[in-house]
Amino acid sequence: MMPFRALPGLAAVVVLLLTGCKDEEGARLYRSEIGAVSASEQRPGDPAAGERALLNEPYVSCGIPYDAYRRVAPETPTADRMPDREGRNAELPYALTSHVNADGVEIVSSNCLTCHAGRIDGELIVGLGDAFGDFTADPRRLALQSGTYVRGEAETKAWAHWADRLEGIAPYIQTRTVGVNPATNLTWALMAHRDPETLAWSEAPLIDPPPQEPLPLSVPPWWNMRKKSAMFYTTIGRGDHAHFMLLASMLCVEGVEELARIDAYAPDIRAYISSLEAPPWPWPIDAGRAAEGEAIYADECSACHGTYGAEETYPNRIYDLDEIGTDPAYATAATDGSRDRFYDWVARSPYGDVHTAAPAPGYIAPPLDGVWATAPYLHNGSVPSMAALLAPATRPRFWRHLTAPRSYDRDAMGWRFETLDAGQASEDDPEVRRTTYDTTLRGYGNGGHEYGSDLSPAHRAALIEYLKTL
Amino acid sequence: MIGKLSTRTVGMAGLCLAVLGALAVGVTRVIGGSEGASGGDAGLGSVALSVEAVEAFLAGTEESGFVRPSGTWQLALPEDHGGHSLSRAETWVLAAHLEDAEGQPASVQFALSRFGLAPETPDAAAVSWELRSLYHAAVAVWQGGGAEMHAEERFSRGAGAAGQDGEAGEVWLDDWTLSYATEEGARDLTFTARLDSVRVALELTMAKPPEQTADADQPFRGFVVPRLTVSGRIETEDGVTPVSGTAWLDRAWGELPLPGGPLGYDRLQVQLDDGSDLSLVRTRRRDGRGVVTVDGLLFDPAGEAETLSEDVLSMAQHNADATRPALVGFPRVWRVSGPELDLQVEALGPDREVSFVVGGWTVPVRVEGERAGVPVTGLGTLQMTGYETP
Repeated sequence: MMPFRALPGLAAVVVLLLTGCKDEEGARLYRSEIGAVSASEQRPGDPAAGERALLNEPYVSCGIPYDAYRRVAPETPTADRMPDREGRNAELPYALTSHVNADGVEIVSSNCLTCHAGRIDGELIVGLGDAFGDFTADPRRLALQSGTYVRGEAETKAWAHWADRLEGIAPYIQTRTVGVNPATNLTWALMAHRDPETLAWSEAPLIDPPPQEPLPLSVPPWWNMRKKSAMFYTTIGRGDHAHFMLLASMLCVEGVEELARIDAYAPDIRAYISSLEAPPWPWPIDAGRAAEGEAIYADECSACHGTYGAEETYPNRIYDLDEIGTDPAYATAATDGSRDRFYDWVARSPYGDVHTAAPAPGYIAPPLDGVWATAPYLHNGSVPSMAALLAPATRPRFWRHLTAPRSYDRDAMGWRFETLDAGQASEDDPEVRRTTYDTTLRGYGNGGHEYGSDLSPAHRAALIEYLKTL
Repeated sequence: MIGKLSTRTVGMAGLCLAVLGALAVGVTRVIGGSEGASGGDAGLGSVALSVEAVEAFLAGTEESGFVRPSGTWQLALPEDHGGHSLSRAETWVLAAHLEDAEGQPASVQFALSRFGLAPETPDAAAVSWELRSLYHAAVAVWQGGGAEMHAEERFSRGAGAAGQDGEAGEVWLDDWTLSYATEEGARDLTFTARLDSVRVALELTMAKPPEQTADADQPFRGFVVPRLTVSGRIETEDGVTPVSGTAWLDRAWGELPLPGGPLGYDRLQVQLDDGSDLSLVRTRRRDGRGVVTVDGLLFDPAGEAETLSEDVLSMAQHNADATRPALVGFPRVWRVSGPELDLQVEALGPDREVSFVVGGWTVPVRVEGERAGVPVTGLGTLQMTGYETP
């Protein structure tokens, strides 16, 4: 059981003491070093119980009253249901969870699968980051209009509670293009509105909120947590990973008691996530060419991304920005001190301690299990296909997913896209603008990770064929 | 003028909200201008109506059996002027912006809503006795530049006292009747109503094509006719006043929001003398918190529609009284700004306290400003809900 903070005042004293050492030991507090990422002990959990909790428990406890939701969405398409879910949840889309609040109002709220599930070839894959999620719109508008069908005092109270929370975070979670995720900025914005010890919500920020424009992220696949010693691209998530996962509850959680109830099953969810395996490539593979590619992989990739086969290895190493060369904005913002107030917040909160939030000034080389499914690539999803990743000169500066219909390019290993002539600045139509991935925007750059640029087209194709086997 | 009747299809938030906004305010009080505004009482006995009472009453409705619109659809006129009795709710809202022979503004508002309490049944005996639908209608007439008002509202259980007749081309509550020509391609409608102290008869002709909702995911269907030409008369004990002008018609059916709820609306319809027509819906929380959205639908003189949102459009109180809480008292003067659009909107009717199913205010407005660099004037209707009376 997590050593839940019984004496928050004492925690504050500890933080203050540590903060007092910050000038002297600032390099250690809230930072990790470039290089190997050490493993930390995780609370044991039951994967089966974790799957049940993930799919059914209301760890995000505010949302739209069910009756109002059903007015606009009376039926759930079969493809969006997960029949193994319990009760009402079996009738809802996989990314929504139902529960009845203390006032007796049934609430429909988002769950983890909103971002952590995706489809390939029509099949829903739990743990796959959603490459098409749309966070470009102002959620306050959606929240307001969802009130159209809300009726009665209890429903209104529940709806207003959810809408108020969205008011607090909306300015910080609108991305410039579809397909990238603002989760980190969302988390910092939520912290700005909460007392770290009591978790009481404050309409006005209690600490400076993050910059309004989120730095874009590609949602990493959950199945990599089988191998990774720390969470997220900068390895900011150290220590007890279940603690960090609890941050998903921050939009709605009403206090430490509710958080403790969620924490009771959080290790099970962590165990479930860590039990997930990558989906196999669902189409034929040219075994001969893949074997050729395996040798190339061993030479070009395995030192950072690990080896596969009978004796799998994974280095668990984070690499310096100068070495990896990919867009530095995210890692720099995480480690230049501009976010330290949020790491302080974590340290003072039930979500962690002074060791929990500790990013390194670089990016981890992730395991490549199921890498075929995780396009677009790099931490910001700036490169639409593996073929483009391995041939940096061909990476499109401006591009857009082809979505009518959405289809997967088996040769290029990624979603079909079109290259555009111009970026967002020269586009007047907001609908076109928000579907344009513009790599000239801050944080959206597609440079770096030029490994493979010297490969011949044949060798590159062989390497891609091998990657399909992982 | 238009030739063969055609319809247009635009899948737009502005149009959907225009239709929904019409319903949301269509059952609000049309300001109680004449003394002792009367209410018909064909089904509710002497129930003192309030938002809570209506919510409770309608909460007992059967959910199953009503047909919820789904999938793509194509507007069919004149049929869709008539009732959709299998839908849970439907509404007709007509706003006529008129002038008398001296150029004095006059206005006529008609809002008819049907809320299904139980689906229609083929059992004729059951139809006779069971309360299966609740009808509400309101008529308001402004004359003399808006200063003189006559208004009434009525409820009915249907059963002949209110309903629709597709063959005859009529929808009605008591002797308030909206009729439409039933021939293919017909563009003509009439509206007649007799109130305690006024009679109204209007002849209307669709001057622009109807615009239909097209979003297949919406739980309702509907259309607007942004401009109809109008001629007719308003008859009071002082005599008969010939009037002419333009009108706007909203029509919706399906899963429509019932009265009440946490949102308030400011809905403005404007018909300008350059031939363009504008509908704006400003949506906000009744508790005064949170963001305010503005959705607009602008029809140019040829009837081409353009949607506008708050990215380019603003609708704000003009010279608001800073000493008064934002949602106390109905704002009388508004400023609308948008692409090549700058309008000042001023209420013509008197500001009186109202209390009805949903507290609200409907009032004719005069508009002045510029569109596309050209000075324009116009008349319109402003409907507001979600304010507290001072």
